[in-house]
Amino acid sequence: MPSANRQQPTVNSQTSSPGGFRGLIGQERAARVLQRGLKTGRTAHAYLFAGPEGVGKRTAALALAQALNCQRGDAVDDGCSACQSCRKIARGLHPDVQVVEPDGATLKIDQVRALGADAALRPYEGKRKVFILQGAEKMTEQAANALLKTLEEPPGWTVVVLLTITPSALPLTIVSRCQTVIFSAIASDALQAYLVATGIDHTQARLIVSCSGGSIGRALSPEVVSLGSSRDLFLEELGRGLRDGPAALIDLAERLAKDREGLRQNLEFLSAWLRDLMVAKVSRRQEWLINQDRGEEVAQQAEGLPLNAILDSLRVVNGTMDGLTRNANPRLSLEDLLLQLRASVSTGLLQVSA
Amino acid sequence: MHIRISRDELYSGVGPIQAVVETKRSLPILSHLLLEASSNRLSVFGTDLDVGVRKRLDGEVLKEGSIALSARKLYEIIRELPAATVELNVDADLTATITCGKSEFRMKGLPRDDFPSMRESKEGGILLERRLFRDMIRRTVFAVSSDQTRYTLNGILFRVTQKDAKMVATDGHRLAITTHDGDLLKDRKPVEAIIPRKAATEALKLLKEEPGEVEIEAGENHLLLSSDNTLIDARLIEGQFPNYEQVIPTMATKQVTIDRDALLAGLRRTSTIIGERTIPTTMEFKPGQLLLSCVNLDLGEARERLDVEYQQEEMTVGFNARYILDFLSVVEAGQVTMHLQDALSPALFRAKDDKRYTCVIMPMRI
Repeated sequence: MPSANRQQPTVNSQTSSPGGFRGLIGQERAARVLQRGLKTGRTAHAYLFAGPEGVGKRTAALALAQALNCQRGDAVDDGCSACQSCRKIARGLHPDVQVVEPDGATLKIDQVRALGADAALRPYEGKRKVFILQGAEKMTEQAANALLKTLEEPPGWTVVVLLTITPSALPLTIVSRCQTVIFSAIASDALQAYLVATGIDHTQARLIVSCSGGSIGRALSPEVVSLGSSRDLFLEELGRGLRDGPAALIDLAERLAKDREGLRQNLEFLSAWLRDLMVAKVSRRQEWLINQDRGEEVAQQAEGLPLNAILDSLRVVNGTMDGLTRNANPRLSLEDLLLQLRASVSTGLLQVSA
Repeated sequence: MHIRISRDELYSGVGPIQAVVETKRSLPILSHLLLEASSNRLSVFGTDLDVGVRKRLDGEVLKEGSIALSARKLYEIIRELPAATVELNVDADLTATITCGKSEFRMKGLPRDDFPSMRESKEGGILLERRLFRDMIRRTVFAVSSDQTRYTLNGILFRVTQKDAKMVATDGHRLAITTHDGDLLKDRKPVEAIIPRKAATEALKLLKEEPGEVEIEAGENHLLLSSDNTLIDARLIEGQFPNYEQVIPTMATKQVTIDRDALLAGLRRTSTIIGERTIPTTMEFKPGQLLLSCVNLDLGEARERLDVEYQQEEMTVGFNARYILDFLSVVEAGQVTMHLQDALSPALFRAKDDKRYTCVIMPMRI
């Protein structure tokens, strides 16, 4: 039976970090809400952490588990990261702290039942039992109904934390039984400061921040190393398409649409580049650019383009990104986008090398 | 860590404990056994977090220490070893070397700190005769509910007061209560704990039937049972057991006395006609007689006539035969009594003249 998956160290729960609320970046508001509850001993029995991917929901949930179980004392507002309990939680070895992840595409009723059976038992060695349901919006209807039972009559000592990127996809019956804590996208400054502090070069950090949409998970994903070259690759390809005419663009749209995850990033590259053109056009301030490593090309291109063309393109790109989050057909949206770009910035954005 | 121990001793410890260990859990260390050597004892501990078992084994400890080793593999290795002395040596980077006769095995282990902590008996607990404790479990465990939504019913209530010790289990359709009179507490705190079914059945398996005592210590979250060299650590069910006393019928004045073996055999025979779906077994009481019948519309019907001691007016009640069979199979007495009120009220089952064990069974509509 697919039972609860214990948390495994992943990219976004940085193994070097001992956890705790101190390890949470740019979520002061959420942390304040949770820590106030901890300090006064008034924690809810069920929380709903809602916010975009990779902004620290899981880190916060683990920090909550650490604080609730910290051996240093009761009613502490943060784990000490040093006691055995805090260390076990950070390493995913604590018997009373479980992270349940979707089994395949959905969170299944068996997983929720296993959680319920475990919740009925007293804690093994900790003070409170914490169940963290990652991707709560992926619960099947049956799973959600089974969870309701646990949420309605929560056995003492149990805290359930639901993590979700789309709270609207959860049944209202679930949401109304949880205390909702909103996690917002991490502010660019905070994210950039963090990246610089981890030893990433300033220019690179700026580019990463602009492409990660306030998500520390994405900012720390392994792809960021090659961010600069992926950007160049994409912009060159786009340039080639614009040069070769509509047929090539339609072909390109089809290829781009196939890779959904890459698509978002490519559009972010495009949006950041156009934004830089706009900045260069009106201010000529190099330090304001996102693509500082390509400052010269940006300045040069901005020379040759009218501001209106840049603004139009930017609007079209942002419109497409917006449409895609609302489930627009990627291929059609892209064809439309590329053909409109051809009208405004026919010269392409980056010099085609070959 | 370095120890010398006889193969049979090691096998007797590892065998039963590895059966408790669960490999399906995703906390990987739970598939391991924790071995700890100190002062001429080797302790072996395994747990699936619901039930943990530790055994102390006699061995020669050359160097104290600990290691967690894969339960399955360790068991398989020891099972195949010849009956000779086994030497277990663990080096600094947690590699265990097992030598026995001409065989040698090397296995990677995990550190002790990663293992869920092991409970220790603190104050000592109440003492109960082992056979009696087993009997109390056997007489109640079948009535434990498997309905996960009412989790407090998923275990046996174990309540010890100054005047008696009780075990109670119910699934809403039937209830089993067994009582042992006498003060077991001897000035200790009263015990009230819900023991999960799994822990109860493991205790039945692990506690030997031979005479002896079991020491029971109920903590806030755990129940510790220790007997000889075995310690069972059961995580308790959270919550309040329902008030069972109010379902024990007080108006059941019609009394029937039946030969236990005859009723058992009769119900077994009539039950053969029952298919997959539960259908009631009709019990028709007449003065001096009980008529059992079972009608399965798809298959046919079965009838059985029993001689009983019954003096009141005729009445007919339907029961789930399974429930009565469960009761009969744990009763040793030669005669059992049923106390009835009417066709829709719960009936009380007891061994004749024995109030220490009671089953209450709800009738079925016929």
